[in-house]
Amino acid sequence: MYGYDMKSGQNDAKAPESRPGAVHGAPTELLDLLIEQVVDYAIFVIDRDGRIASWNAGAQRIKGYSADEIIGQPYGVFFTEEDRRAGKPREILAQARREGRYEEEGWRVRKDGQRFWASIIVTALKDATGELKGFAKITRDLTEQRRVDEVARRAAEERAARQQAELDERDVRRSRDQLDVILRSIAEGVTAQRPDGTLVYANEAAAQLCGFSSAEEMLAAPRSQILSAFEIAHEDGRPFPAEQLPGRRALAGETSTAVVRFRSKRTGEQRWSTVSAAPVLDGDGRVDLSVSVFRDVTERRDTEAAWQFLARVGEALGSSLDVPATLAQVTDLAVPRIADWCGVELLDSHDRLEQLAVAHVDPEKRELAKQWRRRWPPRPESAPYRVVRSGAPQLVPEITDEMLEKGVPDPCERNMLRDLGLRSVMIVPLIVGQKPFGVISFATAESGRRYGPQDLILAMEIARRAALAVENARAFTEARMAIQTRDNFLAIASHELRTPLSGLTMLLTSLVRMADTRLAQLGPQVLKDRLLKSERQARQLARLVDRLLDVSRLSTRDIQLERERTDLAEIVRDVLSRFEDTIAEAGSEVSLNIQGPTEGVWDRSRIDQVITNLVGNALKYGAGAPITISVGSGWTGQVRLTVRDGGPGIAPENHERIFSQYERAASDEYAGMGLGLWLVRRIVTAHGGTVTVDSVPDKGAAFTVILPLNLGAAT
Amino acid sequence: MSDYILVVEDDRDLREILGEALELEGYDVVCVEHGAAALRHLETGARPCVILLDLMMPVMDGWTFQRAIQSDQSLARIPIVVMTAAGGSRAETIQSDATLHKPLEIGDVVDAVQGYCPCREH
Repeated sequence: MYGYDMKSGQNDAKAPESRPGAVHGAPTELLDLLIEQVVDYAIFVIDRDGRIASWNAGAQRIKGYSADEIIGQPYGVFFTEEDRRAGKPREILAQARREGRYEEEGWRVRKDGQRFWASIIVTALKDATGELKGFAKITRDLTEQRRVDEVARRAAEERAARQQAELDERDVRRSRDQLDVILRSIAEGVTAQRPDGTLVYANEAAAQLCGFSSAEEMLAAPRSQILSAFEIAHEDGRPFPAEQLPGRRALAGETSTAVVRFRSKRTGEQRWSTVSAAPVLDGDGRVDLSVSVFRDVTERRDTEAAWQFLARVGEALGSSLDVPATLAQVTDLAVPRIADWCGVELLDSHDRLEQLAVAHVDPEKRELAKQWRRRWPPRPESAPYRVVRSGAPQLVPEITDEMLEKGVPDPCERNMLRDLGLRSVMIVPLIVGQKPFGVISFATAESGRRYGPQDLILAMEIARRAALAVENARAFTEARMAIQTRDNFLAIASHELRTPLSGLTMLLTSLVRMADTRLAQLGPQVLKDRLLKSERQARQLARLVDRLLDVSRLSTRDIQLERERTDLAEIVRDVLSRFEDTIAEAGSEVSLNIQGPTEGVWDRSRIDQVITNLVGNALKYGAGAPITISVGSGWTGQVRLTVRDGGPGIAPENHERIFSQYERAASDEYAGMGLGLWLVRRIVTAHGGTVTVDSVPDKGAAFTVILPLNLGAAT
Repeated sequence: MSDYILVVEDDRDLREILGEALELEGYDVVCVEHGAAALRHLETGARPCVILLDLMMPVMDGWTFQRAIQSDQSLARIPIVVMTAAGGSRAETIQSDATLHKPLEIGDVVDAVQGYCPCREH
């Protein structure tokens, strides 16, 4: 220890024994040695004036001064310039004097001017009377500790920051996951692209739209591969330049929307999308990302197009009642909207499918298809027949070469079909009520389009409407014919009724006109004659009314036959006797030939009607010419009746027509209701027989009735 | 021109009744059963003062008959009164001086013919 005596405050280290209460001998020395040699602490004494009075090894180490240099110097040299100016050295000592001690941590300065962080304790040294002798000061250099603390603090701060960052990142990740879930679950495709074209995000919907199996696959794919897989076009089919796509325009800072048609070069499938894109800007206002949203509007477009198409089909079908023309129009409408090929085949009267119409955009191909059908009509086991037989539609999404090999036995036909390049086909039945009557076939070739279940639904709807139109046309024709028939009936009936009515009225009115003046002149004979004629007219009227009622009944329901054992020859004789006057008036010679048994079981009055009509017609049309009636057994179990006249005859094209209701052999020239032969056929058919005509114009006509005898059914 | 009426009607009863009724009214009448018979009658040089013509008749109907006499100047001047049971439109397609609708009233028939034909003295 250098200099200062701690007890006396004297600068004399050689009076240890005089110190009262001091540790004896060695301990005091040891204490001095301790103080002297401690290197971790600067321990020294400051006198009452604030000058340094002692120094130890620790002080020298920490502060850098040797004892010689520093003892007697004011202790303020250890303070920083600012502290000194602020009077801190004095202040500290004042406080220690007042309170006994002062403690702080603060910046101090070493001899070389270097600052260090110190922990100091200043203790006031007082004697037994309480008089201040000086101050003890212990300084510890905390620089290292502070550095260590600083490192620890920084480490703690970093740790905390890292934790915060982790928390933040978790939040971000959670938000991102949520966003991802949202983007995954929406139907819209979403992509994000960097200005250099790199794709940084794509959701599953986007991947699907672009023909990838997953978003990962799409993100991994080279950029060029994504767009080059498609032909891109406007709605109207014009090519869509890639640089005008909304995504590209967004990279230039524009927000835009467009409807784009993507047609896969690989599958030929085409889809429509509404594409919207917007730029995402960074802090400096530069485009960082281009975000595109694709909404697949294919289904909506297809539905709209389908409805538009169906509306046009409806219009076309409604515009005409000519069935073949109408169906041909449907095929023309279907190409190229829903098919590259469209054909209609209808069953003919022999249940064979007959090509009615075929359409293709290219007339040459249309010819080719016609040739194909002419040369190879559909085989009974082929798809069109299966569809028309079962009524179940057929969809072949993809026609493979294997199918052709298996389904088309003729190699020439196979080659032709290969030339046509058919790719996908739908065959749907045309059905009215229960029974299909034809098929409509839709096929694709050049467009490469594949039909799916949606297309089949549309095709069936087209077929349904077409079939309905056919049914309407048929119903309309029938209704028109029914109206025509009714009008004919009314015209003929009124004509027929008016003639006897005229006679009757005329007779009666002329009698009335005569009654006052000249009745006496005429005499009872004339009067009776007029009255008899009146009666005949009235009977004629009644007969006509009966016939009309009979015909009207038979038009709507089956004939009820009252069968009994009857001789046909006998009925013929009865009829001829009733016609006696008429025969005489017509001037025709009537001959009757009867051969063999002519008995059968028939409705007598109905058979009478048959013969009356046939003989009446012969007399009407063949007046003046001979009439031959033959009755005889024909084939076993049959009887044959032929009435032959020498009238004008009937042209072959009318042989069937004359048996229709309200048809006459020569319309208008001969009065009559045109019901006779219709009634004849109805009655004969009801008996299980037939009636035919054999005639050439100007050579007369022969009507032949063949009736089964039905003897077993005798009552 | 002679002073008789030519009746062309295919229905025998009506033909007779009409003839007798007109005779009772004081007219001379010739009756034939269809257009062809009427033409044959006119070919003999006979010229009625009026023709009462039915339309729907066998062999030759009223329309054909009318066209036939229109082509002959001497016959074209004979007045024609059409008697028709046809409903409306078809009867209008024939050129005639008057049209009577069946059922006929003798009064109407007399009204129609009396302007063309003199009545016999009773």
